[in-house]
Amino acid sequence: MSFYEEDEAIGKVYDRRIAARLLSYLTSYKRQVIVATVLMIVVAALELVPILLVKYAIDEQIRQDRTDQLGLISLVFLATLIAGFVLRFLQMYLTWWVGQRFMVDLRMQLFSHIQHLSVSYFDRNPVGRLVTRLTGDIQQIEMVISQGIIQIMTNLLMVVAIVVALYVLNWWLALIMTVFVVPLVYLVRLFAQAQRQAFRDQRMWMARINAYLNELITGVTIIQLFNRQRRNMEYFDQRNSGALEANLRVLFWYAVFEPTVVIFNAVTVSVIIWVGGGASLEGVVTIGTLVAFISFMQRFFWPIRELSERYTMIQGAMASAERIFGVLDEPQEVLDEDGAKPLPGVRGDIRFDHVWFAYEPDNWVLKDVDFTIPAGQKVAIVGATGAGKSTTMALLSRFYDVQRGAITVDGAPIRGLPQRWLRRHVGVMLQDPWIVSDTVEENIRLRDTSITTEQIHAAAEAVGASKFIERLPEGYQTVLAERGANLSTGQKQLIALARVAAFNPEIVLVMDEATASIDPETEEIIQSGLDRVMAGRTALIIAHRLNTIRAVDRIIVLHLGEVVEDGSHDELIARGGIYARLYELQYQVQAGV
Amino acid sequence: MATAVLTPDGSTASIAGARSDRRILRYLHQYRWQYITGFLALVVATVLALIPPLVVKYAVDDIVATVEGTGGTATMRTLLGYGSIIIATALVESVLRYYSRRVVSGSARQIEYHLREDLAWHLLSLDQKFYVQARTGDLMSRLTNDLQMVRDFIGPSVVDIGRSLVVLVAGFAFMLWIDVRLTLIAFAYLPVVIGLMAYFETNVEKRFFEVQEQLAELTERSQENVSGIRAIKAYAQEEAEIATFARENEEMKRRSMRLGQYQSALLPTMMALTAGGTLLLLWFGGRDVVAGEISEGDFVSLLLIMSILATQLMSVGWVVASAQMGVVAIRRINEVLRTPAAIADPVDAPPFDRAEGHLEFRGVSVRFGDTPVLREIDLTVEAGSTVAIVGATGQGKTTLANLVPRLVDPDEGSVYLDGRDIRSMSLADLRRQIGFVPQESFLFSESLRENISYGREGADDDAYTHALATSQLAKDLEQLGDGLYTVIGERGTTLSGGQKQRAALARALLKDPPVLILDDALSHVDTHTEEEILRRLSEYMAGRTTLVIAHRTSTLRSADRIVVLEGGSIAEQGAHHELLRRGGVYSRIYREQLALEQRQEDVEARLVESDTSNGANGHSEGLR
Repeated sequence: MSFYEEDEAIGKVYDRRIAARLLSYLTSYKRQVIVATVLMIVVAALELVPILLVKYAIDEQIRQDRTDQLGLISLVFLATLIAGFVLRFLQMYLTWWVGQRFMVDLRMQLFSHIQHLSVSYFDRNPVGRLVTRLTGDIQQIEMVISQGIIQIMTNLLMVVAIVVALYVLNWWLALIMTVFVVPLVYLVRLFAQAQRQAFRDQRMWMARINAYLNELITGVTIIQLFNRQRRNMEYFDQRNSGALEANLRVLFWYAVFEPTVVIFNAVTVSVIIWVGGGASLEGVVTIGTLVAFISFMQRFFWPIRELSERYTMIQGAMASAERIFGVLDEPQEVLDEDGAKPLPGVRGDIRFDHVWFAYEPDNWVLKDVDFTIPAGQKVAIVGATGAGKSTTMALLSRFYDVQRGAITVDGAPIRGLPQRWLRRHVGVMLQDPWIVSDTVEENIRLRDTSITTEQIHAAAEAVGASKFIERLPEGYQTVLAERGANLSTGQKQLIALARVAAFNPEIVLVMDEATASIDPETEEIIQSGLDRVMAGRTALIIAHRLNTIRAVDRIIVLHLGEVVEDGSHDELIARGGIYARLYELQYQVQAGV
Repeated sequence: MATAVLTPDGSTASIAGARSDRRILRYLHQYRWQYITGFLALVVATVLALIPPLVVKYAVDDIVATVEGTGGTATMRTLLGYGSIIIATALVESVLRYYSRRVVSGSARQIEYHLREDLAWHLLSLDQKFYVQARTGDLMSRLTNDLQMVRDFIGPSVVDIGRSLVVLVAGFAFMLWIDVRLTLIAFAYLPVVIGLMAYFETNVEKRFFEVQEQLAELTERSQENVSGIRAIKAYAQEEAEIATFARENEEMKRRSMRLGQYQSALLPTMMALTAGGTLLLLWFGGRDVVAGEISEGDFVSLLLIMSILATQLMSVGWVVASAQMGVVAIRRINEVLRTPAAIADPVDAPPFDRAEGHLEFRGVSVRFGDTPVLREIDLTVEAGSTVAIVGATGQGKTTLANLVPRLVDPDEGSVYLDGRDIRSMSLADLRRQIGFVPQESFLFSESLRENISYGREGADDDAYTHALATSQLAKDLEQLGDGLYTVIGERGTTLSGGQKQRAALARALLKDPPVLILDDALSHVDTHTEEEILRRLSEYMAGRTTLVIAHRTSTLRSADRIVVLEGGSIAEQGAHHELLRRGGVYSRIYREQLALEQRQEDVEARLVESDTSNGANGHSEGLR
């Protein structure tokens, strides 16, 4: 279960560094924040006015049997109400506004940062985790900013204002109230702590439910085929029951909380009647003061309760912030060098200059790999799984940086070239084509607006994909399903080919392994598409297909990360090495059948 | 007996589909006593809450009378008495509130639990046509976030609304008793409050829905982006992705701001409206006291009751807000529950034992939307025979295979197993007959053994050994940390595509079914291993009906019969040699494939050689 706990790590409520960093995002909205803060103070003060007005009306008018100022008092009351309404609305709207800006800024920053992280980061982090950072975590912080912080400050101010008002009205009665109120406040805090623990458990169980749901939904066909509904629902029920138990615990503390409020209020009112009333018998305290005290005490509890409730919210937000900053602090492992400049044009010469590479220290995947491919040559890389074929390709796209040696394109080390420029000139046909839920057209140009519709159509035509695309209900405008669920494997491959053709790179890298499952007819179409794509370009192919291998100019045999043989088919046969042995073996195999 | 669409309460999904819109009401009915007693306790508690203001009234009148020497009896003792009454009332009130909250919200949480269970069951009963268009993240959100909103709605909210109404009525009566005119004035503008709230209700609901939709959109975008990050980088499309995301993000802000306008106005409006009541009281009541029409005590207790009513009205405001979200959430949940399980158990399906395996398709047509996928398929597969389905991509092979375990139902025609329409059998009985290996192998984040046990729970070790050997997974076990007990998936070891397919095969083999369906099941397995698997499978297939979608010539040659699909129809069928002699579509496909394989074997031989020489295993593995 450690998987969940990792994401459920609870942050401190207040971490100065994180808080400071969060606040730094607000500096662009300094003016709005200042205005909101001022408004907040005014609103808190305005809250007191009606109570004081009532007190004044009782003591100075009603008790004196006068009504001459009642009109004025009511007018002031009304003005306070209107002002309170307007200011409160402005304040809430303003904080909401700031919260939304903040959300947009932070989410964009995070998204852009993720786009620029190196591939190795994605090797280590599951997709779901990053998606949560971009949605749930951001949302959590936004909620605190647009609804939390200001409310907390307002509540704090309210408490302070009420205490001040009480002491000013009658310091002696206020002091007695304090004796009764302080233990109650302490009790409220204790409850709040227990409640938080329950909340934490609740969230943890919800995360577990989510994780399991994901599996149920993605694996639903298998569950149905194997009649495993009951068994899988048992697993689900374990999580669902766990959540119920935690939920009921949260509820218990809620249920305890409400009576606390009631008793709190009752105790304060009783004390005011008893002690305050007693004092008013001696004329020390006015009736108006008694009423004001009762009114103030009724308003005293809610801010305190709110504060403890927001505590959880802030805690969650701090944890979210910590996780988001964790991603933002992740350095890009592959960086553009200072002064990285694109080449004026690309011919397509490739050189691996004594390249050493390891994913983990000392576990060399490529050892002193050294070869040169002149522009326009087509080279097949052959070798067993783990020989380093895919790695060679990934390095040429500069998904990773080599530890020793260098890779050059047209004589320029790729480390000195801007990454994105490089990748525009090195086209990759991945073995698992990425399909987004957008139109076929956008899937071919990957939303790159510099590629025109004509180019897309021409590219699809060239690789032989246009036939099936035009048969789709809305042709190029057909919206594809998530992960291309409404396409066959072959059709996905054809779109990937059209993509390469549309981007028109000088160098093509082809991962040709997954195509093994395609029927001969589609195979034929893909094969000729592949030929078209490679024509006139430097091409590096991890080949499974023999007619591809026969079509190449040269074969590089990798073995345990080293280049063991390198040459044309005929040369390698003539050399009588591994390749030749394999070739002979081929005849023996056929003779044996 | 577990059946595919059985829900916990035993009703089948199709029936549940029709009843589902009442499901929440049904649960409320089930917990009605908790709701009723909880509600009553709350009403009593709230009425009790009105007593302290009354006590305050008497206390104040008493104090005033004593001070003015007009017959007051107030002493410290009597004042303590007043205080004690207030505290005693509060204690009773507290117990009642506690009880009410526990039973009402407790029931809501129980209902949440049941609903989540129901939803999950329902999801498990829905067919492929549903899942092709459904989005995983969206469904998950409905079972968690939306459900929580429903819980908050049917929990405190429902009862709070009732309680607030009772309090308003009780407070109204109380105030009437004290002074008719003042009460009528204070309540005169209640319609204004209700009118404004209705206005906010509709707006907040609409805007909130829009925000939730956009959040779902953003989630999908993020999901899509991060899972495709390698392709994005390979094509240097980071900036285009950022631009697209920024547009969605801006849209999120726009919608949030629209919600914010109403959300920000809600609370201030409620506060202003309620304070307005106090103002009216002050303006008119103050004069009445001076005029001697009501006492000071009356005035003070009216003020206190007004403030209690104000709190009630405000909480109504919050409840209304949560109710809006609750209504939206209920709608989203009902959308799922009301999606009927298109493929469901027939009523009163007679039990079905182990099948012989005679399969027959009669006039079967399938359409996806308006696109015909299969047309008028007539096909008989003798029990125990092997039929290979051949055809180019997109000719309907997978759909044909999916018809047998009823992952898809035909739009016209029927499929028969041992002469019985498969739609007349229970899904569980039908699917028990079929070992299915789909194109895309899916494994759960459980141990490898548990995954394979999907085939048959409680199979003995020999059965596992046999399944593992046939699927050639046995030799991979030592590579995996804990062998058969290795946990796989996102939380454990990642298997290669070939290993996954072989695990999926083992899972189907363990089932020991009379009918075996292999839908391109070995596409990620290297040729050498594939040959080995096929060799062992031929033994396993003896006596079983096998439907195999494959390209390899050895598989095609060993099939009893070949069916060639073209454009959703059967173009040719017959024995391998027959079709070859005919020189039609099949002979062309076969020759192409043969040529392809001969070339491929060349490469494979090399790979196997360099493989054995370095001692590693030779499965096709993915790109890092």
